[in-house]
Amino acid sequence: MKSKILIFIIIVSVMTALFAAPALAASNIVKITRPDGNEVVEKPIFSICGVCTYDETFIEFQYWDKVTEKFQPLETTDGDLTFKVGSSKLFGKNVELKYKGENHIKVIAYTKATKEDPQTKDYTITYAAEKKSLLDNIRNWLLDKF
Amino acid sequence: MIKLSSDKVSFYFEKLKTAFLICLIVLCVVQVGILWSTQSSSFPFLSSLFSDSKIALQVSVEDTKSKYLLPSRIVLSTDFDGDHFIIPNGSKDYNSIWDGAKLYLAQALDIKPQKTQLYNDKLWGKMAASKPYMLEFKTSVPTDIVKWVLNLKPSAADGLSSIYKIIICPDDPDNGYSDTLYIRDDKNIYTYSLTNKINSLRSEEFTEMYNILKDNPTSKNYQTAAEKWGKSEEINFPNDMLGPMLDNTEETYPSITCSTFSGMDETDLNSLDYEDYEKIASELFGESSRDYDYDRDINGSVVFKRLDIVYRLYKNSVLEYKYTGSQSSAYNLRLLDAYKKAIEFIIDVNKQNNFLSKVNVYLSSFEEKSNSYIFKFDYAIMVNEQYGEVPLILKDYSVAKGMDNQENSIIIEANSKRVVHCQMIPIKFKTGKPLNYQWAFQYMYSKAFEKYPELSNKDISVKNFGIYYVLTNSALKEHIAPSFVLYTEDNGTYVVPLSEK
Repeated sequence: MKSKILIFIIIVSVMTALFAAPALAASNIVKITRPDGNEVVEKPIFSICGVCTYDETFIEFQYWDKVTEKFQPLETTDGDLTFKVGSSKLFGKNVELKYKGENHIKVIAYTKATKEDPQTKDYTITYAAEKKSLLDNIRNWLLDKF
Repeated sequence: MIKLSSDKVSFYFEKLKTAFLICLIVLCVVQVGILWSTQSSSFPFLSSLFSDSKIALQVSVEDTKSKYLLPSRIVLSTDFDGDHFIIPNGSKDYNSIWDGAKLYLAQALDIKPQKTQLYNDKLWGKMAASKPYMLEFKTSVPTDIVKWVLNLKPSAADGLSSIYKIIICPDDPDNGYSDTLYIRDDKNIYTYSLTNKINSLRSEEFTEMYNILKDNPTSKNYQTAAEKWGKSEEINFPNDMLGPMLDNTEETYPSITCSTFSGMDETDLNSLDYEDYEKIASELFGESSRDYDYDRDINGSVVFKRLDIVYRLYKNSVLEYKYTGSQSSAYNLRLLDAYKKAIEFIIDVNKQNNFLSKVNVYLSSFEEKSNSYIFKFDYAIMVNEQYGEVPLILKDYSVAKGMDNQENSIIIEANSKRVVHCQMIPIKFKTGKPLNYQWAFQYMYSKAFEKYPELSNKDISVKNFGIYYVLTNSALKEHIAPSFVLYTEDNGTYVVPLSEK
């Protein structure tokens, strides 16, 4: 009887290690510090920043393409589609927002162990064009006309 | 021929004797005065009559004391997520903001704070990013010292013991649109609501400065850590840290060469002759060099002696001052008095030689010993008014066998009566052609982790970071370049040189 209980405990431990731990880890790979929820911004360049839990974490960004109606890879202003965060665990990247108005952005984070089950976070960043003065508007209108 | 009577002869003889006696007395006073004036403990009455005058020195201290208590950084910000411009130290804007800040400080230090709250890094970081002016000292400066420098009357400080950073917000919307000053020391944040309107640092002045900075391509427009990682509980650095946080930014830094005394490198030191000593003494002490006797000790350091003062110039250009006279401990040790003595000493050094002519001196830290205080100062090398200055730190700078490394440009031990010990590096700095470097905080921070794996192994807490010129013994003979320097709370200094573009 005792040996059966022992075997049961061992099986449960192994299963936990194999499935539950990576699943828990995947949900806690990165803490996104910017955007702080869904944000409204006035500039087309937007920062995505965070702090990772593990030493070697890979990060990708995607945006919702209104034409294909699919998420597409979003390049950082450095030209990266995927980047690795090292032992400093800190990252911050600038991206260019694709649309005026709502931009749906997905942040994907994974380690080697959780590549098949990455942590994802979705944000809606609304790009409201910079407020311009009446004088600026008149000048722009004149420039357009002549 | 007129014949003088013997009475008249004796009368004139007596008169001559009296005149001769008066002459001797005057000469005696002059001689005593000259001797006394060369001593550090000279008597004020006599010293006032002769050139090496203490009173003259005190006038000079009053005139120049403010030069030694300057903010190490002034930042002008538009808003959270907005622009944060670093104002070049020594520029017109820097002086005008500091002059304005002194008026705000003068009023605040005379009243009770409206609110005192425990220091909260997130709150302070958010305020630093969103309020228009932030001024920082390199260390928490005791209010006694600030009041002395600003010529304010000493009074009870209502809990505020020292000033580390100041945020100024005229017409603060978060405080009922009153002119507000936030001061932080090591423990608290103090909020002062000022009742008397100050005409400096108002919105017109802000806009004027901002427009010029915005249109200047060489302006340093940074971001704060609060704006990027402020939400995280995991970050181990202060929220008010400023820098190009994300993208690599190109910045210009001058190349700097150091020069010390002629013939002071190790091979030549053993062959120094009397003329060389005289030359060094003249470089060090100016006109007073004739008051010193020269010698060389068994380690090859050059020694200059004058009564109860000994100067020792080590091979690697560290100058040590020691007071060898008797020291009575029958006085109250007061920080302000000791600081005054330290500043008088620096001013005196500045008068005697021109080693400090191209640098600004900032108080980096101080600590209390049993009978004295130790003040540590660091140099910032002046480039020009538009560019400002570049700060210098010492790393692994050995002095001599058996001695601790020199950690700061000037280390002064002083009590209320005098400076008892000092170690400084009298080095001349020459700025050369400007070179382009690229850096961003996140990349340099990662590089520091790669270069120093121990950073990953322990729970480090970053105190601050900055771009510094790092002076080591070997750098003395070559030019020095800028480096990213990370300071940790456990007094660690991690240096990563910037990459030239």
